Amino acid sequence: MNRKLSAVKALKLVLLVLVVITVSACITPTRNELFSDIDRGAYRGDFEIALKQLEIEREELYTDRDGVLYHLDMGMLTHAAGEYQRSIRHFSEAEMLIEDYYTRSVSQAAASLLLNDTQLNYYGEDFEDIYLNVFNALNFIALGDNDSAFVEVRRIDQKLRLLDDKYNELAQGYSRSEHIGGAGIQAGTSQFHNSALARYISLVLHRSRYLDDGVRVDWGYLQQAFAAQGQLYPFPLPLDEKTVIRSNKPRLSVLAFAGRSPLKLANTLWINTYEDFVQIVAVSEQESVGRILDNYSILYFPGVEEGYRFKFELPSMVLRDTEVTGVRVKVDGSVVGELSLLEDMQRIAREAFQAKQQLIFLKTVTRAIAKGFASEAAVGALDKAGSASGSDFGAFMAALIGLITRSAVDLSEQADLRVSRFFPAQAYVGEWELPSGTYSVALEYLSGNRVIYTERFSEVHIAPGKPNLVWAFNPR
Amino acid sequence: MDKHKRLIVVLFVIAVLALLFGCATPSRVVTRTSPDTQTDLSGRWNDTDARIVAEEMIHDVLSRPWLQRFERNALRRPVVIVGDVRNMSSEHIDTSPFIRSMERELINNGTVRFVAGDAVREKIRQERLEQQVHADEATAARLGAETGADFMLQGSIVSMTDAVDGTRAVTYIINLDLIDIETTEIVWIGNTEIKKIIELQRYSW
Repeated sequence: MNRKLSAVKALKLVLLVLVVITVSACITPTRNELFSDIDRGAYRGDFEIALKQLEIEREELYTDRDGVLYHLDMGMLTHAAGEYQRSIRHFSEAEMLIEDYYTRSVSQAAASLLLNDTQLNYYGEDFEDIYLNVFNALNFIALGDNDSAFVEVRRIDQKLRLLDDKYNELAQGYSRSEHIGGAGIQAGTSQFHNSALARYISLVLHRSRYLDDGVRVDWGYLQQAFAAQGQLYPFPLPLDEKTVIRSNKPRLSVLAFAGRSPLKLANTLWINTYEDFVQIVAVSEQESVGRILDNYSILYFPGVEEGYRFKFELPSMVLRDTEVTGVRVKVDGSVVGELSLLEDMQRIAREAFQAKQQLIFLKTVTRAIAKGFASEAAVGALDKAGSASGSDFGAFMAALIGLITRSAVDLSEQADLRVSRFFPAQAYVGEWELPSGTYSVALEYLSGNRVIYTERFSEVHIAPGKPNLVWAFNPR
Repeated sequence: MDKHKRLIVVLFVIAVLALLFGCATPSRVVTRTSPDTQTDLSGRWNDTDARIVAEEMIHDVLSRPWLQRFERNALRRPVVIVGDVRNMSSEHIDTSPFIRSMERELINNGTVRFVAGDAVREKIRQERLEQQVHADEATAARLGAETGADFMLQGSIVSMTDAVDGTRAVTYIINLDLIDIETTEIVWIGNTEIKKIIELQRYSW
C-alpha cells in the first residue's frame, strides 16, 4: 500500500517536473536560437542584412560581458560585406577588450561558480585573437594601406611567439610530469600555437617589399605550423619552395575562405529523485531544429531519498557542414588551377574548445550538484515552514515558492555557448606567376563538379612590389 | 543535513560577495588636466611618447653642426621638406603629431624653413594652376616660384616587444634622417628610444 502511495506521489511529481522542464525550456531559448535569422542571412551571403539585424538586436544578443564577441562578429560581417574601415574598428576594439580581459574578475568568477559560466567576460580564444589580426591585415590590404597591414602582421607574430612560448613551457611541464609518473594532464592543453594562414599573409606582405629575410622566416614558420601541429594540419602543405624564391614575374596570390566556424550547442540532463525512484531527462540542441528530447527514463532505485533535483547543462561543439569541396581559379576566363587547403579554421576552433572541455565538465557538475543540494535544503525548509503555519494558504505559498526556487535554480544553470560565429571554416590558397598587367580573376567555389558560387574580380592589377593578393569568402 | 546547511551558508556568502563586488562598478569620472601631464593607461604609444620624441629630436637636431655649416656656406637658413616617416612598429602609430611638433618648434625659433610635403604640395599646385585661369593677374600666384628644399627629413618607428604571460616590454626606436637633397648626403641622424614595461594584473574585483 505504501509502495502504491509512493508511486502515485512520484507520478504527480513527474508531471510537475515535466511542466517545469517544458516551461524552462520554452522561456529560455538558447543563444543559437536567438541568432537563427542572422545566421541564415549570413549563410545566404546577405551580409548587409545580417549586419543590420545584428545591430538592431545587439542588446538581446550580447550582454555587457560579451563585448569581444560582438566586435568579432561585427568585424567579420563588415569584412565580408566589404566595409573594411568598419571592420578594422570592430576588430581593433575586440583586440583591446581581449587584452583588458586578461585581468580576470574575481567577482565574476564567484558568480560563475554559483550561476553559470556566462557570468564571466568572454575573453576570446587564442585562435580568435589571431584571426582578428589576419582579417584586419586583409582589411588594410583592401584599402591599399600596406604599412598598416604590416602592423597587423607584426602583432600576429608577437601573439604567435607568445603562444609558442606558452605551449613549449606547458609541453616541457607535461614531459617533466610524465617523467615523474604524472598522467592525464595533457588533456586540456590547446596545441594551437602557429597559424599557417597568418604566416602566409605575412609572407605575401614581406614578398611584396622584397624583404627576403622576412619571407624566409615566414616560410619556416609556415612549414613548422604543419610539422609541429599534425593534428590541426592533417593534410599536405599546399605551397612549395617556389613561394620563397624571388622571381622576375609577380605572383598572383589567392585565398578563398569557405564555410562557417563551429557552433556550441547545449546538452541538458535533469536528474530528479523520488522515494526509491530516479527520473532522468536528457535534452539536446540541434542547430536546425532547436532542443529535442533525447532520453526520458524512470529508474527504480531503492533507498534513494525524495526531493533532489539536478540540472546539468554542458556545451558541445559541432562543425557546420560546408558544401564547398574545392575552389577553382580562372584568370581572363581560363582555368589556371585549383586552390588547396591551407588552414582548417574550424578544426582549430574545435581543438581550442576540446582543450577546455574537461574543466567545463568538472565545473558544471560540481556547481549543479551544489545547487541541487542547496535548492533541496531550501525547499525542505519552506515545506516545514508551510506545514508549521497550520493553514492551507501557508502550505500552498510554501509549495509555490519552492516551485519558483527550483525553476530559478534550473534557469540559472546554463551552458556557456558563446563563441564567434562568422569566421570561416576553411582557408584555401594558391599562387600563380603572371606577367605584370591587368586581369580578370574569378574564384569558383565547387561542390563536387558543380559551381555553387563565383566571386569575380574584374580588374586585378598585377605588378611587382605589391601583395597581388585577392580573396573571397563564401559561407555555404 | 548539517553538511547541506554549511554548503548553503558558504554559497550564500559567495553570492552576496559576488553581488556586492560585481555591482560596485564605478561611474565615469572626468578630470581636466594639463596636456603636459604624463598619461600611461593602456601601455600603447600615446601623446606623451610623441611629445618626448619631439623634444629630444628638436634638441638634438639644433645642437648638431650641420645647421651652422649650412648657414656658413649658403648664408641663409636651410629649407626642409618632411618625407616619409614609416611606421614599422606593431602598433598603429600616427607619426604626424611629433613631426608637426618638430616643424612648429624649428619654424618658430627661426632656425629652419619648411616647405609643404607632397600631399599638401599637390593641392597647392592645383590651386596655383587654377589661379592662372580664374584669379586676377595681379594677385595670381606665380608659377615656378616655389622654394626648393635643401634637405629632406625622413625616418621610421620600429618597435621591439618581448613578452611573457602578463608582462610586456616594448621598446620604440625612432630614427630620423636629414638628407641633403642635392648630394644625398645624410647630414644628421636622430635616434630616440622609449622603453615601457606593461604588466597586466591577473585578477581584480
